[in-house]
Amino acid sequence: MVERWLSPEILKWQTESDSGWPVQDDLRSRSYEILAHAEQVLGQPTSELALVDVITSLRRAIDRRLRALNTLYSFRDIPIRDKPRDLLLLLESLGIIRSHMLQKLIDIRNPVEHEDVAPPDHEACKVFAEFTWYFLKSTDRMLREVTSSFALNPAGDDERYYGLGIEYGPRNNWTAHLGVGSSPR
Amino acid sequence: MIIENSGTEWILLKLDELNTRAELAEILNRKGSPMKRNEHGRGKKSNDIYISGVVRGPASALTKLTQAYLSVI
Repeated sequence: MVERWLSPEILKWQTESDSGWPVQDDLRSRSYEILAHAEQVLGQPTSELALVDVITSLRRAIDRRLRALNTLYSFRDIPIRDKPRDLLLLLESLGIIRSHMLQKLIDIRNPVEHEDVAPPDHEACKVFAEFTWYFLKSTDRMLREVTSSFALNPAGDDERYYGLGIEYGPRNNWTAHLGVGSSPR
Repeated sequence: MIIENSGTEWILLKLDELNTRAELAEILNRKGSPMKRNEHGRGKKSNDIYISGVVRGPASALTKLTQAYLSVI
């Protein structure tokens, strides 16, 4: 098979989304339904057991979102060496999430759920609910459309170069297929 | 921008297509579908080279391509 080598300069070119495929709404909406339940409980006078319900619901809303993202994008198949094995750390390494608050919620939820430890107070639960809302909002875009190709375009007027089209993403198992034109020097 | 031997950090492509613009135009005409690719591209010289292929490395390039992919979402 013929091989050619392409200048790494192209990796500094401007990026632009080219095409993608839409995602079913329910992959996005279910987490919001669970969050709405938690917020409804928080909106009423709460008992300790109700706050347990809130914490476990928030964890479930986030977990559902993480699973949806991972199902669509198959992050572990991305051809990057030495990726973190843990999904949260992997998503953080890719710049998709910040894991600190997520980890905190998980750390709180596990003893509450499994060891009957008292949940955080009402105010702390409201903070976690708000954080969950931000987390869902920040990842919504990835669940509206899955990009399947993008373009890299050179800046300026150097007419030796064409833009590049790159088919990449989970649909083709994270195999990057690149098409480019170039004028000889 | 495209070379036949490896350079440090240059991106390795396993090609499935390599044509000049003139050759590509001829191939497409023969198929009864006149050239549409890059009609509005930058240069249109007949000896411009068109290639397409799979990116095989290096790891740094695949990492940067992934970052570029995620930046357009």
